[in-house]
Amino acid sequence: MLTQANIVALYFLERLLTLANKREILTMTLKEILPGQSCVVKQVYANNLRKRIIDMGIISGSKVTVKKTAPLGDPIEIIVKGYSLTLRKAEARTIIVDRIEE
Amino acid sequence: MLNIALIGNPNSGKTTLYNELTGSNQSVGNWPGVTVEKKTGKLRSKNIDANIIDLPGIYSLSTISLEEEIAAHYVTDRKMDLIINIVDASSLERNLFLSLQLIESKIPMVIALNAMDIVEKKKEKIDYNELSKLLGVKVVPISARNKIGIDDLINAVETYDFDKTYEPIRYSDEIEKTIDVFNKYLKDRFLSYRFFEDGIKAIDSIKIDKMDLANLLQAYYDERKKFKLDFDMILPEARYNKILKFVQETHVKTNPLEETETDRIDKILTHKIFGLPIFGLIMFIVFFLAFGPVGIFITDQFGWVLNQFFTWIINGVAALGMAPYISSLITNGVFGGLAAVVGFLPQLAILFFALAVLEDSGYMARAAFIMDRALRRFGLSGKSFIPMLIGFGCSVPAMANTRTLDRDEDRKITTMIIPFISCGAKAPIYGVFAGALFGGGSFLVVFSMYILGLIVAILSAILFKKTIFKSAKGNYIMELPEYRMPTLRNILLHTWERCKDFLVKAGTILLAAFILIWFFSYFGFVDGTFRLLDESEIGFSLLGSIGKFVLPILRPIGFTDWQATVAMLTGIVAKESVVGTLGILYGINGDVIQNGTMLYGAIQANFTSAQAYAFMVFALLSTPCIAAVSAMKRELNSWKWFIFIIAYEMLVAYFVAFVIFQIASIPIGTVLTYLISGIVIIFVAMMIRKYIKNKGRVCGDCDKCSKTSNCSLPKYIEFKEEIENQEGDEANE
Repeated sequence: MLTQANIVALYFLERLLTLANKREILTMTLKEILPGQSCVVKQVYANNLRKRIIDMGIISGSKVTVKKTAPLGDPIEIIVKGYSLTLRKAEARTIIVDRIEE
Repeated sequence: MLNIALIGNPNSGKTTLYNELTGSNQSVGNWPGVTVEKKTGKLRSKNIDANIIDLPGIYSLSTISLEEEIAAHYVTDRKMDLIINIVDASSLERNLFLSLQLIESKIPMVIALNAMDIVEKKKEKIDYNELSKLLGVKVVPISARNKIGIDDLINAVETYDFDKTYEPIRYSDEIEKTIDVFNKYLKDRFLSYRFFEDGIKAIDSIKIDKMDLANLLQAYYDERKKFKLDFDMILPEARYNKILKFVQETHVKTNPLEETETDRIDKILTHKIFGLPIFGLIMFIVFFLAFGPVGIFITDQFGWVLNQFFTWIINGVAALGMAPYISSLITNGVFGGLAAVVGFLPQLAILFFALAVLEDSGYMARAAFIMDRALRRFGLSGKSFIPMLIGFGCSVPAMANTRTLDRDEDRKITTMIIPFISCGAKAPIYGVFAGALFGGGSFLVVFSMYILGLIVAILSAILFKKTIFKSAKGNYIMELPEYRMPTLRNILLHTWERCKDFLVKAGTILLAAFILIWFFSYFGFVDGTFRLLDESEIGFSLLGSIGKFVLPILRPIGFTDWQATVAMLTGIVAKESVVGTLGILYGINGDVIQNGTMLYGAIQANFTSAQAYAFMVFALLSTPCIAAVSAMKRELNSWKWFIFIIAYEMLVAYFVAFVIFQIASIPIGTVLTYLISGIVIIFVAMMIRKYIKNKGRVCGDCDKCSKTSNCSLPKYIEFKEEIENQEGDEANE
């Protein structure tokens, strides 16, 4: 049986491999989308702002573009439904997305 | 009489429209959450008699903050006859989300499609007639800022046909069936929608038969299984899908990713490297204007005018020949107290003016965006920055501003730490003491007070977060509005409104307190008779007696005479009166507030530098003035919390002053010994802590998360399994 640490390591290894293969659509969290990249929301996981995040337009199928990170590295600014929204990485990492290849 | 509620997203132009509809002058911000309380005004109409109610802006009927709850409850309780739903056309999709929720309520409604001028400027088009047909309610295009379409909107309200009801938009059959099931027990279709979305939270305040409730909950769990998607996401998704369809049919859009003016400004102001220095510079300018040479000059001029005015009043009162206690009440009790508060107005006005410019332009939202990361460590959010900044001016408006914060915990923590931030009224105390005893280093001493206040505030926030408000994370999710040129009219309105608010509080709530304290300081027993005292006899007053009584308690923190104690007690009225009282008690003739150097001799004679520093620290940290205390009571809205925080502040002030006085009183060699051993102990403790923290760390991805296990945030393992399962399913298909 794999230990937790191993599973995490595997997860990142898998991430690296998929990053290398650039043609593939990538499933990752919104936190990992770099500024300038776009993605489509797949799933929003539980966090204490979940309902608000959904109501603000981050729902399955929404296209989200990451605009920038704040000077101190967090929060991030995204464009969703045509307006600018800022949220923390803590919440961003609970949002599962598919990265879009431009 | 018709009750019309204005409902819309924050920053959608609601308050501007309110002003146009009622002809009143409310200030407008480019900062979500300007309307913290509901306001009511009369509709500007010759044909009908109607009230307009301006409610705090909401994004959705599912709320997360107190002010949002006010607006949402207004809708769910159906307190209005008609809704004017203001929709910001420049972010149509998100705004229509709320509109669809409102339409589900079937309350008569008119949509005011605002910011049409911006839409036209962007060369976009919205077919509002078509949109009106699709939504089933009348849509009126307006531009509240340019006063276009207001008459059409009023006309639409006047001619509204209340007999004709409209049908809510139908979602998929699956959803409607589920709604039917809930409706069977709730007997209210709108409530069923709310229940679908918010679950048990939606029916909290509704009386419901026990049997029905049991059935309802059973139905909820049954229905949940039918949907593939998360249950609370089904309705929002259905709404957004509908909206997408509507918008595609009616809205001709330009590319949203095209660089706008806002983007260009943001490239500089929220730049990765320059963003912080620019922010620092802007804050410095604000402070420099309010508390630097400009502010001091204006305050002095204003003080002179005020002084002339009060002298005139005092002379007038004396000339009238009333009983001595009445004229003393008027001059010392009422006007003395008011002068102390009002004299502080110019600096506040400058601070408010500068803040209004930042708010109206849209920079304030960026400030919260930039500061969030720094404030999160203390359990606060970027939004808490604004009230703390205002706190350097005055605690009273700062506390009122905490209402814009999202969570109750954030509001409580921010309200409770604001008094520690050194407000402008405490400055004269530092000025006199530091000037008298620290000579050339006085600037550093004064500066250390501001830093000490900030440190205690931050440590308290951390303490509260670690002990009482364990769940406090200082939630942060915020829209960044587009930059716009602030108008002078609006800025002045904004400044005036806040100053007025401050004055009204000083004038009403405080008056009773001033009179009470006047009674305590001007009456007392002299040679066995209870009588009105002269100003120089304050030592005999009731306040003086209290001062003498509590002196033994204050001895360990460096208070050696009752004069200092009494001066501290009068600080309850207003902190600046501490210096004035000292002047009276040490028998100095003349205005010591205007000219602090007159006090230097007396202070040098009565205080050592250790005592003076402890005195300043105690003045900084102990219970704030009566105005701040009453504001705090109002914001906390609970006696329990209020008493707790007052006691906490007294204890902290006593403790810190005690430590500082005791350390400063012992010889320097001993101090250094303790200091170095203290640093070594802290260093070792931190190393051990770090070691424990790193041990057993699993996620490796959280930003310096201190949790070693039981990470409540999404678990990567679960993520992985979930993704694998989904991919597996897709592969199988």
